[in-house]
Amino acid sequence: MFNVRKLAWVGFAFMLTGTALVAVMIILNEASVLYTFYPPLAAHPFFYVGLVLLVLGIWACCFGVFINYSHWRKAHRGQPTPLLAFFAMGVFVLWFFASIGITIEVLTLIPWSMGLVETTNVMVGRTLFWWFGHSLVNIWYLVAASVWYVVVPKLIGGRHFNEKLIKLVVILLVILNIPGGFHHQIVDPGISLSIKYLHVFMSLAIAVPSLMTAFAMFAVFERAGRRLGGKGLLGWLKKLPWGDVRFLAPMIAMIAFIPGGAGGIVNTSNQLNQVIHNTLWVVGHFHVTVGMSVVMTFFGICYWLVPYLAKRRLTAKMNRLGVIQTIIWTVGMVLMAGSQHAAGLLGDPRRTSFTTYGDHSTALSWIPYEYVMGMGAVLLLIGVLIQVYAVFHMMFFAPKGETEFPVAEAEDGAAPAPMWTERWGLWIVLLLMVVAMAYVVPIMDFILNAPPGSPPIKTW
Amino acid sequence: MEQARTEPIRQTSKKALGINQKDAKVSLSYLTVAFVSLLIGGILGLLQGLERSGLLELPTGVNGTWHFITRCFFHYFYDWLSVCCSFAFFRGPVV
Repeated sequence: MFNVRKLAWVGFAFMLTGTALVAVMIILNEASVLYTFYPPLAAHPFFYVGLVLLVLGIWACCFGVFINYSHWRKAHRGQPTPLLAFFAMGVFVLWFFASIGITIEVLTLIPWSMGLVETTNVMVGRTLFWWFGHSLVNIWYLVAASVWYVVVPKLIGGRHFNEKLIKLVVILLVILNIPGGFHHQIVDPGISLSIKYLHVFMSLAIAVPSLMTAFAMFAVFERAGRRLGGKGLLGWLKKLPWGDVRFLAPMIAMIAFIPGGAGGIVNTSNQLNQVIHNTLWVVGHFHVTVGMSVVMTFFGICYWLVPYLAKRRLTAKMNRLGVIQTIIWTVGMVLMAGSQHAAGLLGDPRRTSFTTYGDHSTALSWIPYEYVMGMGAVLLLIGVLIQVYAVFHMMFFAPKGETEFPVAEAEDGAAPAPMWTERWGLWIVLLLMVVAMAYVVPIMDFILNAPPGSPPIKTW
Repeated sequence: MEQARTEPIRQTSKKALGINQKDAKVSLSYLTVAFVSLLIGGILGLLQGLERSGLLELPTGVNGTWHFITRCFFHYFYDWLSVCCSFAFFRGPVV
């Protein structure tokens, strides 16, 4: 009755309607609630209905994949799940459990925004938002990591790293992810120091699979480079296909994850967070992590996935354009994110319109960095235009033909991952236990010791 | 022996080539929305930049929300593309 493709189309319809509804409400100035839509900022009820439809669309895709996976397991008993599909399962499991938080939040905000309920609990709303918000970024990251582990080794003529380690990384990212959201609230009132300490620890736990990824990927690069004749300490680097956009874009994305991860550790640490909280440093951080690590991987994927799906070929000319786009994007993002980090350290606030605070000397010192951000933004816009052109060209106008779906194989003689890695039921139970550990005490505290709730507020 | 142990994985990677046209259409639809969103986000970002540099005056009714719209469309790009990729990556090997 339900198959994965039908549910994906149902999801498409829901997501498209939700996307349109949210966008229209914002354009009509009926949803001036900023990106995080923290209560007590209130939007038109249709804004929240649009968000519900977006989540329902995602859930339709999740259920389709879960049903398909369960059928596949029954038909392939004793076989390990192919790596890419294992990653995709991790992505959809995380989508589902991460979006539960925001679903509860939005369902409480709808009657509040309609005036049926007078007040809402602001702290519960913020906490439920970040239950989802931080995991969402890691959902995108997990998609990017799947390409780093499984596709990139094939593109460089290598083999993927140990399958057991890769599946362990996926499992850890799925189990440990959701509590990471709390570090966004590290300066919030009403949360005890012990809970904040617990959350610093739980957020930093994400660094473990990330460091495993860094080690594994550079081992893959070195092995492949040496197999191709690279000598000396770093001679293998020269053997990598730097002129192939399918490799170049995700490779720069991976390199960007080093400063991105280091910045993430700063954001997560209680004391260091006090210095950079709500400054442009944070904006710079997600330009490095999302704007480079995730987006550049997504761009790299397009150069083989789009022609593969559209039954066309990647031409040498398009590859060259892709390399140029990658360089433009990298320079733009380095200018943008670098100056945001620097300005943030000098105290430049985020979520604030431009002001010189009455020509205060500190505020004036931010202006040169803001010029650099503008230069970066211009380059990024050029990058967007080239990338959109490249994608639609490859979809409709590139020469017809077959393109490879590049999936790396294991090293000769490598053992497949043990079957315990396939126990998704167990990983979900552990995920729920970690979520309970992180959220039950603070949320109960917010509810039982709640201050008077807030009525809806519209600022402009 | 070694050949036998690696065989299932080789089969897996061959299967990954087997995504069918109907699945491809689903993925391409998600991908199209993602890149249209990216384009809209980019254009809105340009308008915002022109407005801030004093080269363009935007209608006052929507003035305060432009940066938010820009961010939303970039956000749509990530969401739609991550679903597209995960669907294709799942359906590739698990047919």
